[in-house]
Amino acid sequence: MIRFDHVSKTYKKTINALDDISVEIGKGEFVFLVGSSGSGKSTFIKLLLKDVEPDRGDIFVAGKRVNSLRPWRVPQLRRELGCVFQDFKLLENKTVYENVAFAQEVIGRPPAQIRVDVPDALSVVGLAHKTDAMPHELSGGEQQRVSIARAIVNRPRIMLCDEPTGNLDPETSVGIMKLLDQINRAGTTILMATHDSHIVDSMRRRVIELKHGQMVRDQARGTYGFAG
Amino acid sequence: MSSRWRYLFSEVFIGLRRNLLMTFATVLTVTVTLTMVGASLLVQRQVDLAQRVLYADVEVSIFLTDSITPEQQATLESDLRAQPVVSEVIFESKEQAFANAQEIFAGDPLILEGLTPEVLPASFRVKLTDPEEFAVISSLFTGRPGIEDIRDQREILSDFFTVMAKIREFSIWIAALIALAAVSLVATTIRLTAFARREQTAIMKLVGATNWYIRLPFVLEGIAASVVGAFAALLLLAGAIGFYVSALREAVQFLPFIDAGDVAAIFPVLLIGSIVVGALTSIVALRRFLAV
Repeated sequence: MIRFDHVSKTYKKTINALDDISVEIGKGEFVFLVGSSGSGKSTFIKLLLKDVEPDRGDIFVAGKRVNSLRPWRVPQLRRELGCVFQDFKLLENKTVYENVAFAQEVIGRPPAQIRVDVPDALSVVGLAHKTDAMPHELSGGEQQRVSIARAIVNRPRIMLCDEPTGNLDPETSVGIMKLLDQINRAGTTILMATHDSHIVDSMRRRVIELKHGQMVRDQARGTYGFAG
Repeated sequence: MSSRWRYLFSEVFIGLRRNLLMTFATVLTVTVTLTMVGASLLVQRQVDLAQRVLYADVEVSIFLTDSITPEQQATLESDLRAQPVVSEVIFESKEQAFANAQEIFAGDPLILEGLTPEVLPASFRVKLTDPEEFAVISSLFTGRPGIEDIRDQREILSDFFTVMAKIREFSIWIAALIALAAVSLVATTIRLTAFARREQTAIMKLVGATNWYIRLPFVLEGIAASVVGAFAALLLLAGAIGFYVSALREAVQFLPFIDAGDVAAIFPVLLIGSIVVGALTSIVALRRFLAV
């Protein structure tokens, strides 16, 4: 589903964000991307979204070579990718339902489909009873569930999660991870960048570790630290 | 209505309402710009109309010397009639010239005092198929025996048309200046709206909305301001024509004037031009903002 082939990226010619990364993530995998701040995790995700361009190497997402994609094909690429972020990125003036429906409206899904898909996505994340709430009326965990509902409502094949539990307490984080695990078991490939060692250690999934832009570990059923 | 269009229209409406004062300033500048552009178009039409009507009546006057013989006069007349550019030749005798003068200066006894038929020259009044062909007549007949002078009556009008052309030129410069202000105001308004909506735009990009779809509400805002401005300008121009031209028509009776029909005739140009400029401005204003 995702393949990096000798990918390098530097910012302003001095900062080495990613250095000769080659890695492949298969369909249906759940992969943790770990490393300290500045290790290149965010660049890794931005490259997949074609938010930044690599200096060298090729990036493949769902069979498309991202780095040679024409600008007008980029929206198609992004429809294959559901994104979840640390700060939820919800629209404060829209209800829970509207936030999720927004992702479908703006890519031109028919209203009949929206009326079916949005309640579906909200019930998957366990918020079927909060459709008319505003984001500020929800807890952090609930807001993250709304953003996950928005990410999955268009049925992407891949989910990119950038520190999805970064703003949540441990107990709430466990709930979010259960949800992501459930989505992954339904067939969605998940790549999750995280700092949270407890989560990585308890899930025992594949771990890719970056350090100063280099891949220092790629371990199946790994833990956050080297100990495992 | 599909959700796509409902979303678009609600966005346009919210955008316009969000900054009422800014929107008002934008529409006002667009209105002033279009009024100025419209005014210069109308001056052009006025010039064309006056030229058409006045030139239809102008003649070439060929003044004759007092010493011309009847034979010379007869040859001259038949030579004139033989020219293909000449449509009509009328002989005006000294007595007729005197009668005309008495009529023209009826309210001005000072000029008429001491005026006798002998003082005025006899002349041929020559109408041309095209007033621009004066040079042909002038070069053919200048210097012929019995001819005192050949006058193109258009000369009398040329000052008037020079003034009109200057007014028009001035109004175009003013319109261009205000248009510049209007374009930057529209661009600023669009950028402010885009900034206010940046979170929304970021999410739209993330879920794979196309750039055109993201751009459309902004472009529609630019077009909405243009359309409202164009109709406001239409009202202003029609009002100005009604007010000033009816007064002018009373005061200056020898001139034909444009009317509301001319305003209606230039309106499509204003409207379409303004929509195109408004849409282009929005697109350019968003270019950096929308970089993928």
